[in-house]
Amino acid sequence: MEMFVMQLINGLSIGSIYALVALGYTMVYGIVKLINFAHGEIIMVGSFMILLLVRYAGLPFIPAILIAMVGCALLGVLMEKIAYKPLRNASRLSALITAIGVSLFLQNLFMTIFSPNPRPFPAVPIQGYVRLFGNATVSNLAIVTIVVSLAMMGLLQLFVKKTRMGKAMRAVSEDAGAASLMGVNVNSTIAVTFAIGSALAAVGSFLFASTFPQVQPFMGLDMGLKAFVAAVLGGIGVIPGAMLGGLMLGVIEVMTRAYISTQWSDAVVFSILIIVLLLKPSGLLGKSVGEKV
Amino acid sequence: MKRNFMRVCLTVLALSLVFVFAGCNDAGASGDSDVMNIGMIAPLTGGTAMFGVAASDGATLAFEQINAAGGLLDQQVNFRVYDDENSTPMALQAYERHVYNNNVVAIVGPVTSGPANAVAGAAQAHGLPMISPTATAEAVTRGRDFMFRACFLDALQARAIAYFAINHLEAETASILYNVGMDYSRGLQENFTRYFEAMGGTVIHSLAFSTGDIDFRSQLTTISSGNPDILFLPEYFSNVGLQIVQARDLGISATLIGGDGWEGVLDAVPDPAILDGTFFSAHFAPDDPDPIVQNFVRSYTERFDIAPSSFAALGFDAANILAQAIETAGTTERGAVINAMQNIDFYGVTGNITFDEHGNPIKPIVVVAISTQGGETAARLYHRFEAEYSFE
Repeated sequence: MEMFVMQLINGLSIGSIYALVALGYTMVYGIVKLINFAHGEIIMVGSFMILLLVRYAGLPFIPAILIAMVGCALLGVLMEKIAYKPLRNASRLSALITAIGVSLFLQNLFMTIFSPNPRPFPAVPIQGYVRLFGNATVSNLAIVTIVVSLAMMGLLQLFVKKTRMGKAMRAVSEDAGAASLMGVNVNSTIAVTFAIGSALAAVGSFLFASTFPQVQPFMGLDMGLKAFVAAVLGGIGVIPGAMLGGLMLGVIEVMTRAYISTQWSDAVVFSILIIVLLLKPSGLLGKSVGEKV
Repeated sequence: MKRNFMRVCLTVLALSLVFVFAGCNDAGASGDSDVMNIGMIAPLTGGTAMFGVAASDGATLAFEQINAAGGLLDQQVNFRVYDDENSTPMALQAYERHVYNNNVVAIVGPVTSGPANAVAGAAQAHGLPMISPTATAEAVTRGRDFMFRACFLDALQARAIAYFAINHLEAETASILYNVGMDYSRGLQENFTRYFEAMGGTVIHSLAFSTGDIDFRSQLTTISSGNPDILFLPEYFSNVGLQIVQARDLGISATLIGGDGWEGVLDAVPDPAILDGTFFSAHFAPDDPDPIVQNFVRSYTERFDIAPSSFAALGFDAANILAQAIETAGTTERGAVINAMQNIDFYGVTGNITFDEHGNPIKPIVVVAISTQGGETAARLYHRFEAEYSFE
C-alpha cells in the first residue's frame, strides 16, 4: 500500500510535467493544425534561461521563472513569425519539416554555445520530503510539481473559457476563415496561442530541471516526444485531453517500471497508445468530426 | 593540346617529387640513431575526447620528464600522438602511420576498448609492444603476449567494492541500480552480486534502467522498500548525479557506493553536500600523500593547468611502464621489451604494478570517500587496497 501510493505520486509528478508540455502541442495543433516539434526545445531553452539567471546573475527562483516565461513566450512568437507563418497556406508536411528544422537548429545552436556537457541545475530551496503515513514519503519537489502544474492547467482552462481572447482562440481553432469574418484578428490570436504554450513550457522546464537537475542541449528531445504522445493519447487539439494524457502517461510509465518490468516501460506506454488509437482514433477526449461534403 | 599534356606531366612530376621528399623526411627522422620513436593512439576529438586528451597529456608529461632526464637508452624520445576519434578504422590508420612512417619501437594506446581490440588484432603480425592505459574490455589482451594494459578490470574492481562494503562498511544487504544497455554497468553489477553474495552479503533488489533514462524514482521507490544497507550505482558520473539527488529526495538513507565512473560526480549535482558520506573505487586519489602521486599532481597541474583525472594518471603510468621495460631490456628489440614488460615490477602513480600471464595488471585499488570537512565537500582518499591478494 505504501509502495503503491509512493509510486502513484512518482507517476503523477512526472505526468503533470508531461501534461504541462503537452498543452503546448495541443494548443498549437488545435489552432494551426501544426505539430510543433520544436516545442520540446522550448523546455531546453527555458531551463538554460533559469540556470543562467539563477546561477550566474544571482536572481532568486521566482523572478528567474517569470523572466524565463516571458523569454520563452517571445521565442515561441518569434518561431511562429519566422518559420511557420510564411508556410501557413503551404502543405502540412512542409510545416512539419520546418518544425523539425527549427528543433535541430535550436539544439545545435545551444550545443555550439554551451557545449554538449550537462550542467547541474541549481538546487531549489525546497529539498527534503514529508512522511505521509508508515514508511510512505513524498518529496517536497513532487508536491510542488503536482500543485503548480494543476494550478497552471486550471488557469489555462479559465482563460480559454472566460476571456475574450480565449473565445477568439476557440473560434479560430473551429474555423479560422469564419472567425476572421467575425472580426477576430487571426494572426494575433495565433501569436498569443504560441506565447501561452511556450510560457507554460517555461514553467514545465523549471519543474523538469529541478526534478532532474542537469541541463544540456538535447534534454528537450525525449521530453518533447513523451509530451507529444501524451497530447495524442488524450486527443490532440483538446486541452483537457492533454492533461489527462500527460497524467496517464506518467502513471502508466511508473507503474510498469514498479510492477511489470523496468525495461518494458516504453514498450507498454506505446502499446497502450496504439490500442487507444485503434479503438478511438481521435484520442481519449477527442471529438471525431465527420467530413462535411 | 601538346602543351597541355606537357603541363600535366610536369605537374604530376612536381607533385611526386614533393611526396618523395616528404617520405624521405619521415624516413630520415626514424633512421636517426639519436631519437627513439614512440607512438600513441588516442581519441583527441569526438565524444570520448576528454578521456583521450587526458590520457595522452599524462603520457606526454611522462616522456617530457624522461627526455629532460636524458632520454631512454641515451636517446631522446620522439613521442607522437595520433587521433583515432574513437573509431576503429581511424585507429588502424594511426597504427599503420606509426609503424610504417615513423618506425616506432612501441605504442601507448589505444585508449578506448573498441579501437584497442582492433589495433591489437592488427598488431598481432608485428608483435610490437603495446600498452593501453585504459581499455577495460577483457578481450583486448587475451591471447596477445605483446599487449598490456595499465588499468584494472571491472571484475577486479567489483570484487574490491564488494569486499569494501562487507569489511569496511559492515554491510549485510545491498541493492543495485544499473544500466542494462551498458557493458561497464552490467559487468560491475554481475561481478558485484557474485562477490558480495560469496562474501556473505545479500542483494535485495537489482533493478535495471535503460540508456537515456533520467527518471529513476520508480526503481528507487522499490529499492527504498527493501531498506538496504548500501545502494550500489555502477554508472558514469552524470547519471549517478541524477540518481543520488532522486534517492535522497525519496528519503533513501542507504550508504551510496560506486565505481571509477563516479570520477567527476562532484560537478554533476546542484549541491555537492548531497554526496556527503558516499564512496567510490578509483585508480588513484589526487590527495594520496605518496610522494610519487604528489609529484605527478604538481607537475601535471603546472604543465596543463588542470588537475589530473584517472585517465591522465593511467596515461602517465602506461608511458612509464613502457620506458622502464625498455630501460631494463637495454634494447628496443621487440621480444626483449615484451619480456621485460612481463617481468616488470613497477611503482607508479596508480600503485605497484606487475602483470599476470594475460598482460592484465595486478595492482592496488583505492577507495575514495566524499565528505564535507570545514564546509568544503571533496573526494578524499579513504583506503588503498594494496594488491589483488590483500582482499582474498
